[in-house]
Amino acid sequence: MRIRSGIGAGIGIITAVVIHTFLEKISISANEYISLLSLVVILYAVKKGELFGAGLGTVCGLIQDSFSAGIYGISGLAKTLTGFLAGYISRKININSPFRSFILIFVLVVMEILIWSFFYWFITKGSFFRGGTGVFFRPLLTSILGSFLFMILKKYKFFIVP
Amino acid sequence: MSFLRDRKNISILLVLIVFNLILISLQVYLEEAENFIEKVSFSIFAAVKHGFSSLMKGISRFWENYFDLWHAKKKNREMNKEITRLRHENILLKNSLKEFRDIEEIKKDLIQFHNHILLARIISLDFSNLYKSAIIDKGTMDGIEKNMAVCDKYGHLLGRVIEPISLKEARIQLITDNLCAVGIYTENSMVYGILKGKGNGMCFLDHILTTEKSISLGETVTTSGYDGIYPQGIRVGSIISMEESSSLFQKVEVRPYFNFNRLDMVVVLKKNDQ
Repeated sequence: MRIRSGIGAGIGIITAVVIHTFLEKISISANEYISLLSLVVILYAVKKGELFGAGLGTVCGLIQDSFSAGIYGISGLAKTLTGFLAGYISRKININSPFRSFILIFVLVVMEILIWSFFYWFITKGSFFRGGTGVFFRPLLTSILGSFLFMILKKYKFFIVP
Repeated sequence: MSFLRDRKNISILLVLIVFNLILISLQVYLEEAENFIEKVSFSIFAAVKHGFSSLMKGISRFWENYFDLWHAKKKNREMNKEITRLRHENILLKNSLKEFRDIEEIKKDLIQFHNHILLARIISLDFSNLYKSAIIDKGTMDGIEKNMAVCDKYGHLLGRVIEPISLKEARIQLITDNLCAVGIYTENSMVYGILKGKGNGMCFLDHILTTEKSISLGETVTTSGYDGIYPQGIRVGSIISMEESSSLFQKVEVRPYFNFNRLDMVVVLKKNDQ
């Protein structure tokens, strides 16, 4: 069962990386507006729980770090906490409605950006928000896409653990 | 039971946090040395990006060729590559002529120069800040090494190769990165200085004294070669604003010549031993 979940998450990660590559070809700054790797972490954390979410968060974060010239491990740390909290919160509150899932993803993505920014500032004394303005839209666009995916995946019984 | 489960979960979370903190701290300890985990994840997922990018390129080329006269397209591509090579030869020639060297010496340089140009394609930009770095589709198998200068297809400076470098992919640090510095001079006023990235797509000249009045707006900034990384004579950008400050130095902003929206083919200047 664990192997199957691992393979599923692996396919999710590769799909996210492939879509990111595709988006880059459409617009050079497209990846600033959306974080598909965070979405993979949140979706699997809700499905499999906080531990799986934290583990997957570490993996996805380190993959993101390897595509960035920044400090290796910052995204790993931010996504680990995101994955853990996504799994924990989804056990405590009902996130079945699209609005609730939207709020959950929005809050988690904002939190992830803040954790990342704090550590980036703490280590390099540089501001994360020097880059493009797309990052300000990231929580909104990621949560819109995420809540839409939640609806579709629920229809196909993705969140029901057999 | 729930209490025990929560305790176990928190313990594992703490282990993962400590693991990430160790990875962060290792960079301070190792400074610029390679991180094994970073290299492995870069090699695997850069290959995924490289593969998909090549697939997309292949599909789009096939599509174009299907409708166009593909022989003409192929010829055009080859000619575009040749033009890029010629542009760089031209830059070298101009620089050599500036130094008043004899024609035989220039010819010798030119032959060497041809072997030191490598055409590459950008397959990805930085995930965290797109003005920091990019990934190209050439790696150690193509002779890529750390600190090789990278230009766009028009011969404007883009950045340098940094680690990690895998077999077929490498990362380049863009000159717009706030941790990047380039030795430069201004072409008309011949003021030497250091160009640094601002992290937002622009650059600035560091440590230009307020008493320095010869710099003018629109002036071209060119690499000086004093940093030991970037060869002399590569055009970097133009001065777009100058501001006097209360400190000893003035704020001189530079807009790089390379265009983010047209980053596709790039040129890696392989190191010359001489």
